Amino acid sequence: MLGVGIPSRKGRSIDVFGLLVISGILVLLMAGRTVEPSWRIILGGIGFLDAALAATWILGLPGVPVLILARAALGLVLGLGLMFTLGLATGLILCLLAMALGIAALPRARLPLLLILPGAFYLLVFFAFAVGIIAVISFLKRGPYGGIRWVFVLENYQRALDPLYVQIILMSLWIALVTTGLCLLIGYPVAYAMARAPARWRNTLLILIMIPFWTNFLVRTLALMFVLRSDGPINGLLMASGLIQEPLSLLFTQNAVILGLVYGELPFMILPLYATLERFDFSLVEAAHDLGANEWQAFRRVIWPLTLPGVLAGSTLVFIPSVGAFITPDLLGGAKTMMIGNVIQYQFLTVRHWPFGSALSLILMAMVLVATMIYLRVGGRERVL
Amino acid sequence: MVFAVELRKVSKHFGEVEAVHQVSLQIRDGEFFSLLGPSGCGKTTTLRMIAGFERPTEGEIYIKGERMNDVPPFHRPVNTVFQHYALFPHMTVFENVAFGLEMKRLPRDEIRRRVEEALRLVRLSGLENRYPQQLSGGQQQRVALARALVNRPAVLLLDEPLGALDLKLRKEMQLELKTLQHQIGITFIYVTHDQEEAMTMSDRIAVMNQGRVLQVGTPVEIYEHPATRFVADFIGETNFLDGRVVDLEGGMARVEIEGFPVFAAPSGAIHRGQTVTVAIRPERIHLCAEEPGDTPNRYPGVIEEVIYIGTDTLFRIRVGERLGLRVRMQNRDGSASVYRYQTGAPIWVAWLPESARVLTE
Repeated sequence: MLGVGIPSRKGRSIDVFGLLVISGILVLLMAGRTVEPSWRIILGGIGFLDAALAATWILGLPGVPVLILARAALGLVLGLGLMFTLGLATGLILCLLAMALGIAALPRARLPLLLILPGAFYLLVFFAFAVGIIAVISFLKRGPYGGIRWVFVLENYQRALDPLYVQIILMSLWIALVTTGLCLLIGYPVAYAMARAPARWRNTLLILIMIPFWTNFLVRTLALMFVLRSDGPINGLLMASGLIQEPLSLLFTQNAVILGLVYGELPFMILPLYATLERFDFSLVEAAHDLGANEWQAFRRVIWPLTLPGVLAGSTLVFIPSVGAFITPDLLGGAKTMMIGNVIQYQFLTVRHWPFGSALSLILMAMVLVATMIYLRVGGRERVL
Repeated sequence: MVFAVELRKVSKHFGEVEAVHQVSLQIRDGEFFSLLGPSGCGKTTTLRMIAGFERPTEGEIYIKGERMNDVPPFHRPVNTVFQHYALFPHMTVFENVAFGLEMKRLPRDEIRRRVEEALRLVRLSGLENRYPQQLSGGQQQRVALARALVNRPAVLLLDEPLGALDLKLRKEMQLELKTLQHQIGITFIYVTHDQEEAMTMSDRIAVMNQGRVLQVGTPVEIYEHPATRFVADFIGETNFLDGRVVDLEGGMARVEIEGFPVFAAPSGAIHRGQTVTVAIRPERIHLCAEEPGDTPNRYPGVIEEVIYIGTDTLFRIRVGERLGLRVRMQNRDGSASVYRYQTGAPIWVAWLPESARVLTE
């Protein structure tokens, strides 16, 4: 994915990414052989500024506004984002060093900041930065032998609007939606029963839910293939009982994909639901019954709204990987059922059309984002505590 | 006579454990009735069976003359104020109170009218749009009360509703509940482990222990004529003196205790030679500097301890070799008692025969 070779495309990539990385490396190593000597001083200086900014911010020293202004001015000039992160990390290391040496003490108010820094750093580098690369590539042209050409185009997005791809995208959304619905339908009663089970059984039940995870996902999906085959046990049983004469073609259908997805994602629905239901105060149900609510009314008016956070969490956890799934539709859907994940995989690995694959990835991400936001907005209307 | 609630030999088993054993109660219409006992005595289980949350293993439950054993809680004409209120956290005060009426599918404007009326009754008008967690404990308690009362139940069940409040607020709420109950005339069944609370509020009290009802009576009956040693001990403070009946004359029993003759009124049939316990409340024992002449129960002793607690002073008096008595004296003359009675000083203790009770169990 990091086809944007820094040394090879010096002139162009340095002002976009290379500059950021190199400046960080400069800060860290205090030396650089990848850029011209005149740049070293400037980049090193900026890196130091970031480190100093982080240090003053974390340690709560005065002078932060001035430094931030200075950094913002430089950022405007050079558009440096990643270096800021690297500078921050350097500053953090410097701070820790200072604290270890006893030169500085950590103000208590800064502790939360210190704790989120590693996570934020990780996400920035491996998520924001990576997505940024994909976003850039999606606007470029495919090179003659795979790879990319640095020409800004919109053709990848135009191509994604082709009915062929729109249909695949819509079907992926539909399959994910059905999967989420089925997981909820199956998972909610299971989670409910687990939460109502005697406390000494709950851990056992939880382990039973998680046991399938001890087996590799691929192995489990392959096993499903054997179960669904025309000469598999299901068809065998149905034939032997005389219910059918011809074996049903279960495998390589959309339903097989949904079955596989539900099977794979179900625990991700059950676990957050269980966590919510386990904390649920069931005396509220008694209160509802006491006030004249029957079983359904008590569920609808009290249990459901109060467990909605778990429903939303579980649904999100199931929906998002389902939309982008590619192993399950590949193995269980065969050639007939292709999901957007398969197309992306195909573009990247087989056709080697990275720009188009990137565009599809971004469209998928945008749709998941929009769907999740709508979902949360709808769910958010009920007051969730 | 149709009772508001009647229990006929109701028992409840949880597996091997018998939480309630053969409880029979008859609770009259409009009565403030308390179930009093230590924790685990079965009082809450009894209440939950009346509410319908537990099914009795044996026996029958009637509400307003109708058998309720197979009626689910949402079809019973009772409402409950739960121990921790069990207010719906996702609903406003208004929505909480309106819940029961909505379940009855009443028209919207009637619901509004009745909810407002109920909130006025518990003095919470103006807080309709708050959420329960934005209210103080006392306010939450009132919401729970309004939410139950708005349905105009035949019987209101209260499960230690004041348990979570601080002492001062609890005392206030006790009187308020009592007044409220008078005002609306609904039968209250009140579960508590606080004997003072039960005494303050109840028309009648059922004292329970180990799943059994030991005594049912008015606060006066329970305090003045406890049926068993447990009741006498649980309600208020009592000196228990173990002895043997040596004589019965003129309705009075003469009991020999540690070599001293004690005259007391028997609470049931007793016979000569029987081993009994004489119960005497600390505040019924008088302290005299000189030998009093007006009662046969007078004994010389020694002051062992003097404890001043403000309203009263408590004494520990040793009579003879092994007899210890707790005595409570009201401080009507201020702290004079503390200075008048010194530890180690000789003293006379005396009480009227009718102040003491002879208990056989």
